[in-house]
Amino acid sequence: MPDRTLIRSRCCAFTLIETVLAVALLGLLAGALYAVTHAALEAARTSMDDQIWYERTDAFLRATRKAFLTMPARAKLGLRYESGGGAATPEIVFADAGSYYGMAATSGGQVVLTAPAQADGTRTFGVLRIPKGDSDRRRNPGQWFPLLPKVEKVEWAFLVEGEWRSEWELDAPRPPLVRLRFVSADGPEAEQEQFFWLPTLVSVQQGTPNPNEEPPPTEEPPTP
Amino acid sequence: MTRRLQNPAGGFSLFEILIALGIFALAFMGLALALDSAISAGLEARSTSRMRAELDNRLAYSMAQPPDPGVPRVIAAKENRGVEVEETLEPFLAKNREEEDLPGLWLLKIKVTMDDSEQTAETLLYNP
Repeated sequence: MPDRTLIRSRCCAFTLIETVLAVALLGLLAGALYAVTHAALEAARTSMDDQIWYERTDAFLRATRKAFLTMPARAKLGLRYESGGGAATPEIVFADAGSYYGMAATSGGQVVLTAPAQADGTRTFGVLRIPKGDSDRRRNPGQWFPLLPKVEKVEWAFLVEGEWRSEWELDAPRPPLVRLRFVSADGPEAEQEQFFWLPTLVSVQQGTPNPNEEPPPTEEPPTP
Repeated sequence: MTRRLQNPAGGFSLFEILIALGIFALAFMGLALALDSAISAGLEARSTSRMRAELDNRLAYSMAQPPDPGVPRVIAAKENRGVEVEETLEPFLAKNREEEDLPGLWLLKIKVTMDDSEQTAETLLYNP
């Protein structure tokens, strides 16, 4: 009986070498599979983060382009620097206009595109609505609407006769081109240089008939 | 034949091992191809977004600062984070009802190229 058990064991069971080889092969295959899966997950995560950054930045730039493009003729544009809490914050001020960034009519107030400093040292682009006659904006923190976080080194410039100026008064006539430079702290493309075009205002003489248009048909007076 | 199938050692034959390795290689290759196509799709979407944003940006700039007529303004890809830009301005011929030429109309064309794909934009400028 002991001899039979010994013979069967030699016949059918795996030896230590075979088991070690099998485990080593399994480990190698599992390692390769893990490396591929990890690389795939990492690439997908990076790609998703990049895509989210592109869409978020693109949405901010599109909304800002639309704000400049659709400025009413009576609206005013200016740049001011809000001090307090470290470096001054450059702010674009839209005044005397209807609405910007989807906000309701300001009724003579201002909409400010600002980038205040945050606790982590970066800045966040956002829109601040200041109603007419409300000089102390800190009383209305609920009017703040963030647009694009994690930016640094925000610079605005205005093109006048081929030269870029870093200051623009609110009462000055609107510039044809506005430049925004900033550095993104978490995006795939750090340094940004974006341009915003403002259509030139032209005066239209009202009441001048168009010679190409046919006169409207006149109604005959009703006969009594 | 019967003796070969019933291997007295109880192990696999070389043919069986090769079949198993082949199946594993096919599965591994399929996984690698799926990964490659996913990464390619992500890069293509990123490239498209990048080109569209650059097109909007250059269109805004050129509306205020158009290139000289007939002289293309080119920004090399290495100077513009991988996106090549070419802007041209050509006179645009249009006539009114009396078949008279309308002066001051220009056609602004902007072409951006990135990774062998391109996007274009065209608009009319009035600059008498």
